[in-house]
Amino acid sequence: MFKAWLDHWIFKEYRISTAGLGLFRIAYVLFILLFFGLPDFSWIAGQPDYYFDPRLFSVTALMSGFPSAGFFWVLQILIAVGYAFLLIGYKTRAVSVLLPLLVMLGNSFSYSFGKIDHDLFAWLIPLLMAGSSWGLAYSVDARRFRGTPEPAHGGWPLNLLALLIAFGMFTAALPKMMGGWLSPDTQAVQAHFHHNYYVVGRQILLAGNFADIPSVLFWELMDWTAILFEFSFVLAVLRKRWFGLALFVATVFHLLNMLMLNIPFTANLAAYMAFLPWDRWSAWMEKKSLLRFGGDLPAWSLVPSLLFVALCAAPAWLRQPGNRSVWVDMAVLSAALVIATLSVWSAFRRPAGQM
Amino acid sequence: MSLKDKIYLLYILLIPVLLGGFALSLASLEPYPAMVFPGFEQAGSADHSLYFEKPVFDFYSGGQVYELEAAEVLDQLPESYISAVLQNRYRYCQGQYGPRKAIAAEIGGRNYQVVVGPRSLSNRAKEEWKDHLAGIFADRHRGLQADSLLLQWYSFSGTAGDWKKESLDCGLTLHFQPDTKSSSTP
Repeated sequence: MFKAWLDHWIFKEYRISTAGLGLFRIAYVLFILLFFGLPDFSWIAGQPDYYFDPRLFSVTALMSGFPSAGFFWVLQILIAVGYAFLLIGYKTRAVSVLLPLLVMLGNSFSYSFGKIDHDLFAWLIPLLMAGSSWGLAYSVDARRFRGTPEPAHGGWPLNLLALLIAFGMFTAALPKMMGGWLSPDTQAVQAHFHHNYYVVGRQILLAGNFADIPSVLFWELMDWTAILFEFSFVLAVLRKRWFGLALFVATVFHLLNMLMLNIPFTANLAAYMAFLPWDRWSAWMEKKSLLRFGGDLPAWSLVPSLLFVALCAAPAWLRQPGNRSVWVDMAVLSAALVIATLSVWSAFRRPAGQM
Repeated sequence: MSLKDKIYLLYILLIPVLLGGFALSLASLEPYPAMVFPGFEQAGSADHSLYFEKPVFDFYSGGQVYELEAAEVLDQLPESYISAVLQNRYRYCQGQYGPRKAIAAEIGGRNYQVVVGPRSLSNRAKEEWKDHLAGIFADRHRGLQADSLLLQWYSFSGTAGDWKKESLDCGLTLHFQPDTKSSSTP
């Protein structure tokens, strides 16, 4: 009984069609290129080795200092080429495995200054999806694998991603709870807010509106809400529909964080969007003849793909201080709202092809 | 071994690794009380005298909150905190927001803020602290040199949102040893 349930949960509950996965692959790459931006490691070279303080369990712990500028340029060009390959689905499985490893290598140096960003999920997705058939539709690879049947156990990569998101939420909630966030004597969100507002200097968007709220009840409610919401993922992961609803709440939660604490959350959106109804959309597009199922792309499509990625990468690599303008924030906020809305919509719609 | 079995094996291996890693990190890290300002619970109440009678110096250092009486601040200021703040800011200024030529302006324009201080700290103590920090900069950051330092102090009065900022009359100016261009003093 339990084995049957486990089988269904791992392999079927989160399953979407190959065409849907192909569509998600393209959307993911576009999201990274247009919203999140390719990583830029070029600034690391030339920093004083005095700042080199790698983490214990990091490949950079084997090094004695920062590598040369050439190393980082080769690394980020490889990453850009990898995303160009992924966009059109060329050598998809190999690229899906290599890309995250390359980004994590660069990030290991970036994090060796002591500051660790929380963008792992954005880069981890290709590694998880390497086990799926996301390269077999709307891709160059589709030509080679034409006629490949839908994998019988295709749901596990998304199930694993959902499980990791839930685990991430759990690891965020438990220390808060152990640390007394639920105690009415302290208002932790308020403390976070004041730290961010006064010390870090995050005072844009709606932050100013929260500075004058003295209500203990309001701030205590925020403490409780944060923990309950983060714990809810542990249950929500059991059903795809529940998980969709949890993602909607998560997006609203992050949105509030961004408006109040000015903490962006673009990396999370890259992971959340995996659970949108891609198979339904691909079916609709095929019906409208917008994209033919398994639509295989010619090999020469690599050229425009490379050019497109270069166009997207150049501004990120040449970014100047202050270039993160309001319109970028507004674009991210708009994307968040769209993803939140679609999460709810998908939660209440059965995936195509499922009873 | 079938594909299905391999995936089961992946789950069986992964879950203990994740839980074990999390348990280890929980055991080794200070949990979230660090994020609660000591004395802040009085913020919403009508009587703030308790807060003011309990001068605390609190700031973040690797997840720990230090509560020091004002008199102890100068002696017990953990240098690791200053170093951590500097490194974070240093990285933010250089790494995430652009190439090095923009750094000086970014640093000079933003300054470093040294966290919420006790309102009871005297101006003399503030001056001494400034010198202390400047010494740390010179000693610990060979690539950087501090000419002066801006300390921003926040005193708490009235309601929770009513923080008053006082700035000492000096600015943090960092410049890089390799090129001796210094940023403008804000």
